[in-house]
Amino acid sequence: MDPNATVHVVDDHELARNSVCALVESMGVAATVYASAEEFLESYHPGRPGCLVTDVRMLGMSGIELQERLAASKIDLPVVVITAHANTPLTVRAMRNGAVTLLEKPCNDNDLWDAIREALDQDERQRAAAHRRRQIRDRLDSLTQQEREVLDRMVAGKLNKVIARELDVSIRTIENRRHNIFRKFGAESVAELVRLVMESEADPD
Amino acid sequence: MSFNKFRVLLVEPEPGQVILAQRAFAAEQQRFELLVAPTLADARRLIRERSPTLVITDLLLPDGRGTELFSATDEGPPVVVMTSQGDERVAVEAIQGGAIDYVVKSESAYDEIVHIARRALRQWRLLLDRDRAQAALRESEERFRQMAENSQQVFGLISADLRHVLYASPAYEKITGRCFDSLYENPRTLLRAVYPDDRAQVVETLRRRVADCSSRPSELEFRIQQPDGSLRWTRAILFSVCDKSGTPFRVGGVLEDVTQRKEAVEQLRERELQLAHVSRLNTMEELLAGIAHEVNQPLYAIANYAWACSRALAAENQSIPVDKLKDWCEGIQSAASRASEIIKRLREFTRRVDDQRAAVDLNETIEQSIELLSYNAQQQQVVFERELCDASPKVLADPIQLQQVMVNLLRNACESFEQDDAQGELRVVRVATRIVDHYAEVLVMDRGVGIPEDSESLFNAFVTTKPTGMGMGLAVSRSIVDALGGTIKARNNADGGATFIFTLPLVREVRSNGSKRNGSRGR
Repeated sequence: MDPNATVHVVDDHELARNSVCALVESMGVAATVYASAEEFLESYHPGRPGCLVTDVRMLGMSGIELQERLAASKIDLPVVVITAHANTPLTVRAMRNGAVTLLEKPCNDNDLWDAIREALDQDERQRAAAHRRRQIRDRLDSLTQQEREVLDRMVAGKLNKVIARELDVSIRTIENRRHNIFRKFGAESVAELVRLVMESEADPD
Repeated sequence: MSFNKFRVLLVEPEPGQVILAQRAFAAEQQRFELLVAPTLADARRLIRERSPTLVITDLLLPDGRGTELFSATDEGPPVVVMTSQGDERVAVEAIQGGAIDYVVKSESAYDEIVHIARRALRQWRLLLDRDRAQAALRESEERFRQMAENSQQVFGLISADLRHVLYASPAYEKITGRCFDSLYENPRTLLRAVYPDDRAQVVETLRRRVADCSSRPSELEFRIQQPDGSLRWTRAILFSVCDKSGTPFRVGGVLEDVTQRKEAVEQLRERELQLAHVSRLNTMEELLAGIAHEVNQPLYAIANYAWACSRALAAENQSIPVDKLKDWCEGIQSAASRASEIIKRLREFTRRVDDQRAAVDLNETIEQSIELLSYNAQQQQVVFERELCDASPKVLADPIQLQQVMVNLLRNACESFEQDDAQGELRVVRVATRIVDHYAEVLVMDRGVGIPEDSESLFNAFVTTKPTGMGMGLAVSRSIVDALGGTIKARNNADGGATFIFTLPLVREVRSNGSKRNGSRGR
């Protein structure tokens, strides 16, 4: 687990948020508490690893609204939603918004513990994936215009001679460019190359 | 004296005698008119037709004896017998028979006939007056007896030494279940009928009545225990009867059985308590989801803290400092006491109360009521703003009933806001307490849609503006506040929303403190 991870606990009930803070600290993870969604939004800096544990019903902005606000700002913080009164529409809305899970107060034994762990893992995975996407984009960016034209056609499944004809260059030139592309991507097969390009296009953030 | 002439009927068969009589009365024409009848039959006719004031009759008449006129004139004029034949025996008979006078006829008798007539009339008037007085007395006595004997109340009169019962009316037997005779034989019977716990009060009042004539009648209520052990509530008014020097020589009293009235009042009070209880249960039902949520908060905290502690104590994890563990255990403790506090409030609020009044701190009651409502208020995005006076005003009330009034008003305020208006924005309900003269005043101000023009109708039972309301809240609140000697009213604010105000008399010792504080503030 990322040693820099912080669990953000938003609950307008003091006892409740402090107890979650204790639970998180017992995991050896840092926790910060906020009495309202507004307070959290004010002091949160995106980019730091961690997750969010929020109550639904609070004075002012609700936990669900907070979740939607984060999504609208393209902040990928995994969210564990807690509520004292779960109902179907609420649950559906929270899960559609991408909540890790929705738990009812009081939670069973280590449900919350598990949920927070899951959220932190998810955050780590998301961060790793984002990192990878950034790497692929860097590699794509390092290609020359000619190399990029060849790559696009390779991904489209075209043979070298077809590509050579289309670009009106010799097959030899195409083979040189292919060699450069494989080198820059560190890929070993066309299949891998295709997967990387698709991956980079999957989430255009 | 009458200004009418006296009409005298002379029943006399002898014309010579008649002339003598006429001569005698002629001198008194102003005052007397003389009628003459020679026979009994004529006399009867004239009595019937002319209604003479006085009849003077001879004993022996051609058609009978003059004494026969007595019966004929039973309702009529007095009769004087005037005869020359009679003796003492006849005289006795005549007087016993009803004659007002008996005169022996002589030459001089006619000289005195006017005088005799006057004397007879005077005598007659005295007799009439006496009869009338006696009749009046009899009637007055009868009236009193009718009243005393038919009354449900006991009238009584006791000597100042409290040793002799001079009079007691028959209702005594009914109220006390004891017979009269025992009372006259021994006045202490009366005291023995008084329920032992109440005797001292009765004796004390009687003593005061004997000692003091000047004060107003004493009123007191005490219980009478009937021989079968059953209790009757009675209400007595005792007064001193004093002689001219102002010294009490008797004590009078009226005793009334008020058991039924007391029971009716008791029943009414009982019903009001029941109604208040039902209304509280109803309120609680509506608040229950919120309160369950409030209990869940500390339970959730306990579960989290406990899990954290057990993880921290697990063998593989020794990095948590002991101070943290202590903090978490304290967290468990405070969460547990918080949960039990909420449950205690809940139980208190729904408890059937007996109107047990004590000095209650209004500010505290407000805090407790806000706590009961906290979740529901939050749901409706309502925050309470408090402006409570520092003096912590104390009022005499049943704390639960007072809380009920407070919860009703605060809840109404929370629900007064338009549905869906200003989503996400906080709605403010202001709660203020202040001291005005000898009263504590509580104001609950909202910024809602306001109340109808006829704000008084809100306090009627079954009047509600809410789709799910029973319409009991304000009606019950009013009956509670009324019973505590306070007032409750509502008005719209000039700048929107409504204000509900209720006042309650301050408990005395706080009163002086309060005014002192007010004084120092003024300086």
